[in-house]
Amino acid sequence: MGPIAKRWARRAGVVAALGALAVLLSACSDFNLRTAVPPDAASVQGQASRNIYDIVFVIGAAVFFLVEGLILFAVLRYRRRAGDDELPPQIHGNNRLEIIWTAIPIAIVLALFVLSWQTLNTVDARTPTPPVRIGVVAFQWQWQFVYAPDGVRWEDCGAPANKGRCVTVFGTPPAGGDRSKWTPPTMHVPVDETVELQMHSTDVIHSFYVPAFLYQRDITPRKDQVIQFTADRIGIYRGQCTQFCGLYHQFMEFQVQVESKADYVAWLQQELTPPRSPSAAPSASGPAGSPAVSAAP
Amino acid sequence: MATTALRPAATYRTGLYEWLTTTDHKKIGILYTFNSLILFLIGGIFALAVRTELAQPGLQFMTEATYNQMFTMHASVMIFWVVIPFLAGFGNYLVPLMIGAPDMAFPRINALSFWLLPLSAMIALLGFPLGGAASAGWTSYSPLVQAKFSTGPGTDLWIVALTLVGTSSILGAINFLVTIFKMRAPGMTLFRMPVFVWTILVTSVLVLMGTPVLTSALIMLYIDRNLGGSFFNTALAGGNAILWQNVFWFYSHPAVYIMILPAMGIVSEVIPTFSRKPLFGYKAFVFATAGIGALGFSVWAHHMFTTGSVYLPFFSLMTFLIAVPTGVKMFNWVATMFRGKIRFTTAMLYAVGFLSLFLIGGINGAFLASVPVDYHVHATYFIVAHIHYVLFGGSIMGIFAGLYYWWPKMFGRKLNEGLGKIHFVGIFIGMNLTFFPMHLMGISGMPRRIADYSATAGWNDLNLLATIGGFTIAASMLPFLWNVFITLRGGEPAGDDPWEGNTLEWATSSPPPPYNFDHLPPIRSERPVFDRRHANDVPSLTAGH
Repeated sequence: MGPIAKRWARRAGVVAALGALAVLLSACSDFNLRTAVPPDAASVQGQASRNIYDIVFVIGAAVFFLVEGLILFAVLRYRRRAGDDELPPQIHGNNRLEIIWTAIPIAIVLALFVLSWQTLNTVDARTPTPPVRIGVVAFQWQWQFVYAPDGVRWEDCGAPANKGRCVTVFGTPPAGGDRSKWTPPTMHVPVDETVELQMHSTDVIHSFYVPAFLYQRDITPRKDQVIQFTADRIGIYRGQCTQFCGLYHQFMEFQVQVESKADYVAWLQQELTPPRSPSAAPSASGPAGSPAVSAAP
Repeated sequence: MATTALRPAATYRTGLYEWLTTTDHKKIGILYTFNSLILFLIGGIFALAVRTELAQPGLQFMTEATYNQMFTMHASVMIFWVVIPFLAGFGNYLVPLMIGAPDMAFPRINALSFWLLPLSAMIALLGFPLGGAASAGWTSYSPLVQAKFSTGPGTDLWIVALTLVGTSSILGAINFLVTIFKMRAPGMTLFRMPVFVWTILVTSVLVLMGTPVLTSALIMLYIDRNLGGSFFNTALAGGNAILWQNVFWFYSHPAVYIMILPAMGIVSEVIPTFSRKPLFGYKAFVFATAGIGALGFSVWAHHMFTTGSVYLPFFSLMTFLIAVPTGVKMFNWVATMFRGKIRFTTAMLYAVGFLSLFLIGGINGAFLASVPVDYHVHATYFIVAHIHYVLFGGSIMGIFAGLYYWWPKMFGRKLNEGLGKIHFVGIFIGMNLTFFPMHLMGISGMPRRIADYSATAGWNDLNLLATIGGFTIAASMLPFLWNVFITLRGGEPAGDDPWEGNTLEWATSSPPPPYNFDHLPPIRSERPVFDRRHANDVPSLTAGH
């Protein structure tokens, strides 16, 4: 084989290897292109984040293909041939070129910054009178969601005087102590209404994360957090603690059930009417190991 | 042409006592290299443990307690005992040679800087036989790291070990700065220094400004845990968990630049040599390095966007801006290759690998500068993907480029190029198989640092793929280790200047004698050895700036 034939044979080999890799990848069963983009947003704020994500992604992809293309071009085009001992032109720089490739990235990142800032103002916007307020208590290694619909402060729901005026949602305790069998608690929220979460941690830092809302917020002890969101798509969405919080961090899962206003009100009424459903609130004091509701400072 | 009459090879065959007591910067550099290599293997085993457990949903191989130790110690070892000291080792070996100095300014402090590293590594790893190593993550956020939640000696050993590493770094940084400012050969002006020396200079400034902050924070943390302090302990009045994050990231974000700038310096030596051209835009490159160093101290709180405790627009803007000097460098490297005559040695392959992978680490970093995007991907596998494209695709690729490039200088023998290329192909494919899928897991919401994940979340195959990639990387290390073994026993003799290098280390013998040079070539540009080699060429080819 001559050197040129050899080179082409090598290129064919590389292409074949890449093809085999692609076939191998596509043979994967639970991978699909849905995983390659963020989840479809289920909240107004999430949609805003998704829009800015898409912009950053398109610009990022363009930069990737441009620069990776330049690298590949240089590598393929400017290889030193055997026996070529001549020195290439000794170019030390080019001021005009260097100013251009400094200025253009500055313009791009400033534009991205401004767009991101605008989106941030949407995502972090707060209304003073949210129709729904829910207390969220994070602790090692579970969540508690507290609803106090008739004007009680959720932090006071543990007080005896407020018995029957609050709904507290726990995860279902594990069967036989097996944490992996723990049914995650479900937060019910009405669709298209602004929901405020008042979040409190009783021990270490946790983080409230719902991928479908494209949003997370750390809950630090002594630093209660207030967030608001407006879910706009009915469905059940997975949530999980993302701030590593110790031994059983991975079991800190929960769900958010977005339902119609009527369903939400019906659910709340049912939970408020004694006897309460054992699955939602097993006992007045909650499962062993979970803290009292009145844990706020 | 050797510029020394000494045959130095014999001095490298001396006994154990010589290695234990040496103050020769070259021997210390080699000690750094081998210490870092050994810890790279240990940290790699921790990584394989993590990947093995995550190959399938469910806990198959270890408990949560073990898993948490594995990812904590993987990150700690790789950052504090592999990447930072590996690059400091290159600095030790190369800086005096490159500026034409006989040794570092403080040779005995230099030896102390090194010996603190194996000592501290042993202290940190001692946690395993003593009932469990540190397991609060390498970031060790308070209050999780407090005595109430992290029991056992592992965390205290980790704090003591990191304090020693910090001391080692600070001593090393002072040593580098004094060496660079006071010991350059006649003619070696600052703007004739090799770019690698510039990156070590800027890195040393970062270390000097950042490391004392972390080291003091670690001492405060120790007081919190053992002496009833309330610096970061929220269980006591006055304790502030966010304060820990501020001081931790005030060091640990610049630490990313401490881990990438010298690797950029390595690549900036390798690419010009094998393209047979000078680095395109030397001064711009130096200013970009200094710019990264300066901006590097104003971006730490982008690790804290989701805490609700930082002023978001400022840190978002600065984080976006720091992409600019990095982008400038990328264009400089590519322009250096343009119209060059590129020779694909293993070192050059690693340098090109650095460019193509670090590019991804830079672009996905820009995602994190956008606060709303960060709200979604923070603390997910997207972050794991990002940091590994920076530290593995960037730093580790740069380190291997440097090993293949300077090995002949260090030992007088070339690493085998065939085995080197196998090593490169394996690590390049394995690296992408491992870390690219993590982007996808991250944006679909898989949190990092979980020992187990839901079987129905759509992450099974991506995790399996990442695990296969992890073992591919591990397998590709075997030809490398074999290569090191056979080369140390007698590889191809390298000669003084096997690659037609540009900088002063190629003007002495391989390995160089103690105190490095008998005499130096004249230094009239940043490429004195190139100038000497082409002194009689047509002037238009070698004209300076």
